[in-house]
Amino acid sequence: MAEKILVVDDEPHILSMVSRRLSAHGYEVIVASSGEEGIRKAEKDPPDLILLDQVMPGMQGDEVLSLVKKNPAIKKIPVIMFTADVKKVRIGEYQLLGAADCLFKPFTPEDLFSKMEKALGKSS
Amino acid sequence: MHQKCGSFFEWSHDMIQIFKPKDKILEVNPAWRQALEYSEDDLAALSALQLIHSRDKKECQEVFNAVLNDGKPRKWFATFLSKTGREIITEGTVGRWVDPSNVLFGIFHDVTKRKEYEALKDEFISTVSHELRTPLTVIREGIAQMQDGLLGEIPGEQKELLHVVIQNADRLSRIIEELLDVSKLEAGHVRLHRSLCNMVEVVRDVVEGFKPVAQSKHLDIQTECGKEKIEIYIDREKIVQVLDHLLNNALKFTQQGNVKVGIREMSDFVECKVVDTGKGIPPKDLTRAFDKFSQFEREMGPGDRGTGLGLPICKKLIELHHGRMMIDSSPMKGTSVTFLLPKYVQRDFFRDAIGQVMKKCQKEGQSLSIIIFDLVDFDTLKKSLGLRKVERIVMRMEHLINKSLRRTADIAIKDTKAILVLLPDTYKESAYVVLGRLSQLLESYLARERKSPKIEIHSSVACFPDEVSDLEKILKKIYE
Repeated sequence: MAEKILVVDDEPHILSMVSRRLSAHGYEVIVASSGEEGIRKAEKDPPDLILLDQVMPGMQGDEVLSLVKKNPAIKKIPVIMFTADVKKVRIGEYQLLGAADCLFKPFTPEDLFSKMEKALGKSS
Repeated sequence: MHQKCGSFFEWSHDMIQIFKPKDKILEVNPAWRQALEYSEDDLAALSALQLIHSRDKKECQEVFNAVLNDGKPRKWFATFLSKTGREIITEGTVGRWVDPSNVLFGIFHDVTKRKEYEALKDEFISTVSHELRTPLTVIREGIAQMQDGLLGEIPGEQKELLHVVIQNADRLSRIIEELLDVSKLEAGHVRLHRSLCNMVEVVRDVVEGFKPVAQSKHLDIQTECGKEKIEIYIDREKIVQVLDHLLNNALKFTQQGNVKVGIREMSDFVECKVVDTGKGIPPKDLTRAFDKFSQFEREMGPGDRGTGLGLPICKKLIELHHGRMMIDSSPMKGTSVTFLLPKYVQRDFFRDAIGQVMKKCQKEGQSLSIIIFDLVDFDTLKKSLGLRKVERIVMRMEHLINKSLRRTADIAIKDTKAILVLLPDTYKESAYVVLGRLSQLLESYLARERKSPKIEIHSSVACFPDEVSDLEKILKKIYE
């Protein structure tokens, strides 16, 4: 069965672009356009992996990440931070919060898939 | 006394206040009244601390007490609240009156604007880069999807064009990245995170990554080193960035022959040399090699176009390590780029870090508190968990500390088994408050790790110049 990926990003174009790429690669995709919506969807229908934007209006990516990792029902889901943030030093912070990896925008499809596969492999 | 220097007091552009720290403000000058909007009549009802923002109150109180105690003037930092509620950030000096000695005076100026500009600049840089990257992501991925045929097959000629567009989108994102790197380096915002590395391994790892590219161009690429291990304190990530760039350049401009990376250990330095048999750089251009945006040999080979920022960044990164970078080239024969990194031992590393902060504190008349955390029973831990694990735990602890330090001047640095927290402009009393907070943080982290045997940390505080007067004594205290 196809693995289910939850993509959380406030930018509608990025959301549609990434979903198309993932679907074409055989993944099942759920999208959320805010952190709050992301948490709700993750709890309701737990995905196999979450691709999570950092900078969003309302709840930021790192807040979503720590909420996911605090919730026993979904804390095992690997989360890849998906960010245009310049402060690369934050990678360490994300790792401490429990992120599986970090993908920088703009991204290449190769990078996206290799990081996703690594994270998915790790979790199983 | 101020009657004697009345005109200083009246005409000073700096704000001046004469006050009893636990009591009333006795007198203020016109500059003070103008900035803070209180009149002479308001003063009678005001206490000195009442005007200071709650977040700065505690620290001000401590500084005032210290000045009252020993009479030595100290640096003044405080955010005031004006009569209309504006926040005014001030910097200056606070000293003690000769007689009566329970009266202090503060001379300071408004730095609110400067702080605002600094914050605005940082904000601007990070916003601009975020705002540029987001549309760039949509452009790059959109075109990549067309090229990959996700929206239906497209003819070859269009595919080629899309490929060119993607290459240029990638180049644009490199330029953004490198411009940010340069601006951060030039503003002195880049800090090294040094750790003990085997330079031979660092180089071999990078060279390994370039083998596929070299093979595709039928070029030979190799590392030359007489030794298996040359240990050096470097920021691995930054040195990898330098090597990446140099090898990328070497391979790009070499059509036949080879690329060699030589490493040599000398008495005080480690030398690293990237040599290619490429087309070289004409002598007239060589002097500009480290200038920003200088690119030569414009006839392009295959591969990505550069940004003209790579070499200047490399040079700056090496200089940040107190090293040197040189370039030599002869047209048609090849280019060699050499960098020298000073050898560091652990103690040098701490000495350097503490020395720099200490010098700054000395210059500004500040005291410096140093918190030292070290692992109890390091050798046992190393045996049962392995050095790598222990190092990782120390690294995580350093990271946690750095994250929780509140002022930008505060830093934590680590070696294999100890973490040093440098708190400039901090008295011993406040250092203990910080120590309490950090210990709690580390304890809860170690409790979460649940390693067996249990990891214990020992902590101590040294205060300069009150307790320890020179660098060697601090180092002795750390290594005892």
